Amino acid sequence: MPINTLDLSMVSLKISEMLHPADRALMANVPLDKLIRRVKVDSGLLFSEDLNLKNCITILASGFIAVQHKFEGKICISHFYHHEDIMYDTEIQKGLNEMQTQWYFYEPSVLYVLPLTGITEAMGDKTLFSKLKVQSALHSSYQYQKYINDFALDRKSFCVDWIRRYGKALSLVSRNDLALFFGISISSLKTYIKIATKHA
Amino acid sequence: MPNKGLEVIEERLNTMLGKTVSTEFTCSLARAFDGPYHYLPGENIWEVGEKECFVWFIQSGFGFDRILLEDGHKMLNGMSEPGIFICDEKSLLWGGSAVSDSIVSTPTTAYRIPFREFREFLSQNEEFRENLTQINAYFVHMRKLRLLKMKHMNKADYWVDIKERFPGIELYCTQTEIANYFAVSKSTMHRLMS
Repeated sequence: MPINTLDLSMVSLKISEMLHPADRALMANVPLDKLIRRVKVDSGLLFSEDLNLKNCITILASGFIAVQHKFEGKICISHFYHHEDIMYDTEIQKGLNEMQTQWYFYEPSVLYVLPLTGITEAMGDKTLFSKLKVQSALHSSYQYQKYINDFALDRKSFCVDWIRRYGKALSLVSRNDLALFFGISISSLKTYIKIATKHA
Repeated sequence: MPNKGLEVIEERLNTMLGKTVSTEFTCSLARAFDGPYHYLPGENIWEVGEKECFVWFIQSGFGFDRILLEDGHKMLNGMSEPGIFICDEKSLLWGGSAVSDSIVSTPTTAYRIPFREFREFLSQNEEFRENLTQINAYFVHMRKLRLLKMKHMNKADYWVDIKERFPGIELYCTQTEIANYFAVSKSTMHRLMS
């Protein structure tokens, strides 16, 4: 199925923003519509072998995803992916995945995938693809640092802002999982939901 | 004369890649590092606003890198310890001056490579590019672990864990900084530390 213009602009912008400013001009003449594949995913757990996303830049066009890990015998959520987020399968690949990290899709979702190797690389601009490989590898670990920093911010304002921004999560994610994600009690979560939704 | 520090960098790269023997690119990347640079407690390896940034390898010593938040406060971003590669990641990814700093708490020896050279090395070395995903998978794994410990580990156990990793941490950082690093309130941190 061809990629629609709006989605194409969004994907192009996200990839461009991810690149180093000095390399962004390389995106100008790339036929992204011919290089990107559109992938539909049903709701439920996704294992790394279900979709081959190794060495790919994946952008979530629609859907809501939890990143789940097994830690100290419990299933924990570290973060979520929402519309327009860039995802890397580094975190769910079998190697170096002692915590059995998996993606849980709360609803049927659409992903746009740009493979950085194989036929796509051969069709695209060699310099751009080598820059994309480097930048996406660095970006994948940088994103985790951001989740860490977010968690260290003032918890109340982080929770309230997050709920306002991703209100959809309230109908998809259990209160227990949300409380664990924020690292707060259920009663604090209820209070923050009230604050967030009061002025919504 | 062989430079011990560069050998350590090479060894570290090999470990991160799960290799037992050095390859051409781990040797050449290690050789591209310049040093050693020595720092005394309280000195900065780099500072907020610095325009020329480097990827650093810490051979010995402990410290912290701190990020400057929008409200002007500095938050502990991560711990620097022997065997770690650190830098101002935002600047490495998107250019611009450093938005973080790195301060050492114990005598520290480090090696460095300018971002410009590091990026050039990456663009010219295909083998390194192919292995970069694996190196970053290692960082993802470490950060994943830290995030989960912050969120879900029993705080008293986490404090013991940190004290073992960074002996004397309470002597070098304020209780507020440590509380931020743990993502707990100051009163909880005070209780844990007493």
